Amino acid sequence: MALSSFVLNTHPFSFRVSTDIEQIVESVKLLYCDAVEWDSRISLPSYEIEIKHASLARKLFKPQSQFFCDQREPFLPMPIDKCLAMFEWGLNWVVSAHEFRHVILHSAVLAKGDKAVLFPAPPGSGKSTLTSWLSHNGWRLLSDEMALMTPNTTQVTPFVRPICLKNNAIALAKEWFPDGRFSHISPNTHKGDVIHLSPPQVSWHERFNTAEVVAIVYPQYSTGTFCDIYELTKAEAFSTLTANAFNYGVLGGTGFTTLTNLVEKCQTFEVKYNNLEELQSFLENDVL
Amino acid sequence: MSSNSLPITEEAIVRALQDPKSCIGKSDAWWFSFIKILRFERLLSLFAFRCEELDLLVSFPLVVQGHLKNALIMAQRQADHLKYEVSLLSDSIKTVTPQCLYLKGAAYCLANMTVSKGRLFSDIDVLVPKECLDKIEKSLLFKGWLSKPINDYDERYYREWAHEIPPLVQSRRGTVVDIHHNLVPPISGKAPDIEAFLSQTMHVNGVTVLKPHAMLLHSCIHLIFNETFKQAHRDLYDISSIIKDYGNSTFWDEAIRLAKETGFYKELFLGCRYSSKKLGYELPPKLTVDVPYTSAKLMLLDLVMLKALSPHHPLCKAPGRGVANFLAWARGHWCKMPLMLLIYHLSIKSGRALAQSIWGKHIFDAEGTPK
Repeated sequence: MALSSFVLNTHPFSFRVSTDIEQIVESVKLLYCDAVEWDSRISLPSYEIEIKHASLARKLFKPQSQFFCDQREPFLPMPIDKCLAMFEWGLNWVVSAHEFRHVILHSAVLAKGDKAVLFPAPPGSGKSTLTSWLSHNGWRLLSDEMALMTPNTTQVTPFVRPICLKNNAIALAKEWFPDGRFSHISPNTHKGDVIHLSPPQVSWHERFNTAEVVAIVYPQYSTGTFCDIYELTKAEAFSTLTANAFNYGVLGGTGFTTLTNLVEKCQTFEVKYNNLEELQSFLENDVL
Repeated sequence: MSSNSLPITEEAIVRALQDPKSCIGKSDAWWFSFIKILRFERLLSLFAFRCEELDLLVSFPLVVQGHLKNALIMAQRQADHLKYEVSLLSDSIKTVTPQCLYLKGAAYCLANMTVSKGRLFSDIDVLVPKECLDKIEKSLLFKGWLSKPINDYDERYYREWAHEIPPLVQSRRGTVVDIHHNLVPPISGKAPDIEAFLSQTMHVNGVTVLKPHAMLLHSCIHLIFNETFKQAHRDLYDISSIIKDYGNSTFWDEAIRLAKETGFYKELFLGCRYSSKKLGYELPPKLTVDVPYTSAKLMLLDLVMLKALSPHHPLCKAPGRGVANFLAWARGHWCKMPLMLLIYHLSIKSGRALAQSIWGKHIFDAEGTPK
C-alpha cells in the first residue's frame, strides 16, 4: 500500500500519522469516527508519527511493523498482526514522553455531566471492562488510560481514544455491545490478546469539555465478590495514586501538591466486585 | 517523512535561536519542522528559555506554546533533580576519594552558569582517580547504580581502551552517570596528564568543577576529539555561551596555555573556530593568528567539519553532508585509535551494521548475540 497520511484530532493533543499499513487505516476509520481528518495539511498537529512495515527483507519473511515519533523509535518492531496495539501504545508513549503540562495518572476517567470519577488501577484489575460498561450505560468516557490533571486543581481534561480490552473481556464486551465498533484482535501481545473498542458518539462529541473529579475509586475485579466497598484513608489513596502517576517524578513539587490536593478534595474508595450493575448503582447513588 | 514537511536551513535555525522575535508570524508548517529539528538537536529548551526571557511565548501559536512549556518544565526538573542526585553521588564517592570533579552539563548547572539555562543533559559526568574506579563502582552498586547490559566487545572497549567505565544507571530513578578517569581515551596516546586539569578547578556551591577556561577547553575537546557528530551542533552553543560570559584577556591566556600544555591546542582552535563561524561572533587575535595547520589542510578540515557540525535532522538539509559525516567519523577514529586496532574495531562494527541493514537494527540483543 502507498503511504497514506491523516490527522487524529484527539483533544488536547493531535497527531499527524503516516502509514503504509492498510490495517491501520481501516482500524482508524472504524475507531476514531469524526476525530480523523483525512486532509492532513489543514492543521498544525502536536506530533507526527509513522507506523510502517519494517525492512524489505522483513516484508517477505515474518513481516513486522515499526513505530517512529520523528527520528525516535521507542519500541522494538512487532509482528504485523499486532500493529494496531503498537499504534495505540505508541500514542500513549508519545504523550507520556513529551507532555508535562498536566499531571498524568494511569487511570480511566468517566463522568456524568461535569462530575468525574477516576479509576486508577494496574493492568489486570478489570479497569477497561468497567470503562466499556459505564461508557455504554449513561456515562461519558474521558479516557480509558490516562487522566490529564491540571496542576493544583481537580480539573481533568478528556483525552478520548479507543478502549483497550484484553483476553476474557473481549468476548464479554462483544456480547454486551453487539453494535459496538470493535477492531480486529491483536493476538499474543505482552498483555495477551487485545482488542480496541470505539467509545459511543457522546464521548467523542464531548471530548473538548473538561470535568471536575469528585471521587477516586480503585477497582478490583474479583470473581467471588458481589460488590464490597471500602473507604480509603487519604494516605492510602495518595500512595496508590503516586504508584499510578506517569510523570509525577518529572513534575516534582507540582506533582506532589496536585495529588495531595486531589485526595483531600475527593471521596476515595476501593471496590472489589463481580457485578457491574451493582457497582454502577453505588457510583450513581452514593458517590456522585 | 510526510510530504508536507518543510525543510529549514541551518542559517534559519541559528537566526531563530539568536533572535526568537523573528519567529513571530511564521507558518504552521515552518513551526512544525522547526520544533522537530530543535528537539532532535536538544536545543528546544534553550529556545524556550530565550523566548520566555523575552516574554514571547504568547506571540506564538498555541501548539508551539505547549511544546515550549513542556521543554521548560523538563529543563527545570533536570536542574532540580541534578542537585539531589549529585549530593548522593558525592557522598558515595567521597567515602573512597576526596577527588570528585564534575564535568560538562552537570558542572555548568551546579555552578549556575548561563550556559546551563535551558540546557538538557542525558547523563552526569564525573572525573575520579583511575585507581579508585573499582572501589567507587562497588560503593555505587550498593546504592543501586548498575551497569547497563552491553556486549563483550563494548565491555572490553570501555575497560581496556576508554577514558571512562561503562555508564551506570540508577535502578530506581533512571539517572545515568559516566565515571571518567581522563578526558580522552588513553588508547589514543593523547590522554593528558590529568593533573594539569586538576590544578585548574574551583569550588562552587559545595562541588568541584573546572574553571571556565578549562571548561571551554574540555568542551572543545569533547566536540572535536570525537568520531560522531550526530548531536554536536548543540556544543557550538555551549562554547559560544562560555566565551560570551567569561572571555576576557586572562581567560584566553589561560585557555591557550592549558591547551598547549596538554596537547589540545588544535582542538581549542577548531572548536572555537567552528562555533564562531557558525554562530557569527568574533574571536580574539591571539587565538586566530596562531594557526596550527597549513592553509591547505585547514581548508580541507573546514570543508568537512562545517558540514559535519550542522544540525543532523533530515529536515535541515545540507548537500554533501553524508560524505562529510563519513570523513569526520573516519578522522575521529583515526585520532582515537592506533591503526591496527582501528581496522579491528571497524571490521567488528561494520559486520554488525551489515547484518542490521538486512534484518533490521534489532537483530542483536543488548549483549550482542543475534536473536
